[in-house]
Amino acid sequence: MLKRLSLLSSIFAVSKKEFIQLRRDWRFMFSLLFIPAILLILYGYALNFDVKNVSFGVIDFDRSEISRDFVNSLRVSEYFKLKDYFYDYKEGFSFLQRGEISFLLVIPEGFKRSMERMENISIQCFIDGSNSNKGTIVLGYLNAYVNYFNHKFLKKEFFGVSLRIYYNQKLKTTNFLIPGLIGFILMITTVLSTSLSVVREKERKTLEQLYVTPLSSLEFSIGKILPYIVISLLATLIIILFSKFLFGIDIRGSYSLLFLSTCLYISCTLLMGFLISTIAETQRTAFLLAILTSLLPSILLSGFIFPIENMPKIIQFITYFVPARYYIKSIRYIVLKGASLCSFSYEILSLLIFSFLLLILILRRMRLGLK
Amino acid sequence: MRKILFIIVKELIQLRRDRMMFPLLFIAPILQLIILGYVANIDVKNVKIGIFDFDSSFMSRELVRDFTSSEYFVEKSYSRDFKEIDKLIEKGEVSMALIIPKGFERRLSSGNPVNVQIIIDGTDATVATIAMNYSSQILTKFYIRSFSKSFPSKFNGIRLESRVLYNPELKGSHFMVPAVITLLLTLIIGVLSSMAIVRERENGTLEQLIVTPIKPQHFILGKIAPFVLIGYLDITLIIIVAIYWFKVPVKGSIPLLYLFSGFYILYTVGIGIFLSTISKTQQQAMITAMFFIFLPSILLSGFIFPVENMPRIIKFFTNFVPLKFFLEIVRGIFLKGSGFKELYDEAFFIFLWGIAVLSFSLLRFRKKL
Repeated sequence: MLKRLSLLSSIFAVSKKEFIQLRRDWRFMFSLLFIPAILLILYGYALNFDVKNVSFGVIDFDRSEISRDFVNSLRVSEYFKLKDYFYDYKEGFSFLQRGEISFLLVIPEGFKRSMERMENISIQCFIDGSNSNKGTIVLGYLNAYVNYFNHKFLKKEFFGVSLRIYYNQKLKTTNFLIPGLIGFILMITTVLSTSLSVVREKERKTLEQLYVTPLSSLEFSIGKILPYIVISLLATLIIILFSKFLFGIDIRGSYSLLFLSTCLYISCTLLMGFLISTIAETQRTAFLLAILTSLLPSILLSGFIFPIENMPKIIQFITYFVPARYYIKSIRYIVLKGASLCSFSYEILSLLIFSFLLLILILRRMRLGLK
Repeated sequence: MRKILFIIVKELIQLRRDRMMFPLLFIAPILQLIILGYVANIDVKNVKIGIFDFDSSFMSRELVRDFTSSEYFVEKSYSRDFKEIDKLIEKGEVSMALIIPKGFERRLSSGNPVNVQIIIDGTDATVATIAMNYSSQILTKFYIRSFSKSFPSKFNGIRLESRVLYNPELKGSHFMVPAVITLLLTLIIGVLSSMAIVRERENGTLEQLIVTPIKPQHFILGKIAPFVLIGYLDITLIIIVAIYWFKVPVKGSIPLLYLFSGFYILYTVGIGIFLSTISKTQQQAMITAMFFIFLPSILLSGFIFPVENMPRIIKFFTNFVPLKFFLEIVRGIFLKGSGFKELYDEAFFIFLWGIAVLSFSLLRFRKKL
């Protein structure tokens, strides 16, 4: 009993010291609190995959009423924007090459005649595929549009689809990306904030001084991380408020679940930064390690942007080691779907295990350092 | 010239001493490239679909088969319990549900209108949009087929004959792999070169160097040269991996790519020196680099997120991210086979940025000395 009390009080003492130091460096503290919010505002507006206003060109060899009709109804949809009519292929292709249009429609001569005689006819379409994602979506829209035009022209209404979309009715990609962005921002700010902490002391050779204190490495590490957890939680609160009021993202699920998963995630990432700090010998290796283990994986391997199910098996396996993966899934489920704990209990458990493993690794590194 | 060489040698020795630096400079880029190349696909395939067939007739089964036999959809559940739909979608076990009503076959064969219901999980809007388009294509084809059985007619309406240019298979890796070059140049040269100068200041060795007969410009050149060298080595490495591993076609000229990379390197070196003049500690240099250069370079350059979708104000800011122009150059040369004529504007812009930033920061650096 007595021992446990002393453990708590010494953790508390380390935290207090760290807090005082942080308060002195108010610029650092300020940036820890507000940089996440600034990043969210800037990138929340910037990031989306919505395919809208895709500009296109037309070569119309038919120049009939019906061909103009076809182009016009394409043009009034919010997806496409007519750049210009061209008169020959060469001109059209040069626009395509310079990226000024994303696709080029070629309506053949005799379009009107075939339509009237009910003969099959094809329209040529050249799509700029260099951006593969955009290309895929544009191609899908075009096909769907042509289907729609056929239906309208044939006036056959036998078959309809009634479509219902759950959770994100307007299909705005922002709603999907912002929860991911929150996970990403928290990752980089927390990992960066702790990754340089120990290594700096190492470079200045003040780490030895800490080793001679009666603190155990467990007390030292937990005590050092605790203040960062508090500050990062505050920062999370700020970002979530911003995403609610600026981006209109409502939290459908429970706040306590959100709090729980955020706490677990933050401790996980802070511990990661701490581990990096005990491994690296200089600040610049620490920085590069932090980028390689936090920044890039949490963009690429977390499901933030690229769906994990589409990745090759080996890379899917690697994603299990990216804590952002678990958090981003849970925050999306909580915020967008209002899901209950059983839908992402596995993710929460993984974050917990992850934190424990990291703590054990850190303690081992610190003990090694002592010798 | 010899003085510059001295500094270069000193710098390389220092780099070698840091055990982790070497793998970070050469293995990390390759690793990044390979991961990005495989990951960067928003191809929508194997969308998990739940089937609710209340008709279970010959025709409804045929429609189900049309869905499940396409490469876009995988059947994950089959049931007749309406209540299950919500649960399945909430848990993420299916992302789309196809509901075929009772009397589907009867109505269709007697020429009456019939509705099929589709429910989509909209959380990931991109996947939802694409899945929606695929299903409407499948439905239309089914409709035309079953319709022509009962009312034979040759007319199918307009057919879209689409050809995808520059990246015919719409491969994500072809789009992303060339872009990694640009990201690495920014990271390695910008960040490392700035830290190299700040470190000397932190350790107090900058003053020692000033009293030697080495002039500031020699010092800067010698400091930066190893990183330019490393940058070019990394470019070469990546081009090799891109061509031989990912089979990304290089349609344009590689010498042109090297030339324009040189312009971009001018800019990153300038930024490196600029950072070193405004930061006192390595930590400051790193954090400034991270938030003012690295993140905008990834997120605002069109590296992943298309610039044309951004709001006007942010679009304006992207002009201050020269990586945007460099990306257009690199992707243009790799995929479109663009030459000097098409890329002239972008190259000129980067060149201007490079000269401006470099001369400004050199002036600042001299004043500081």
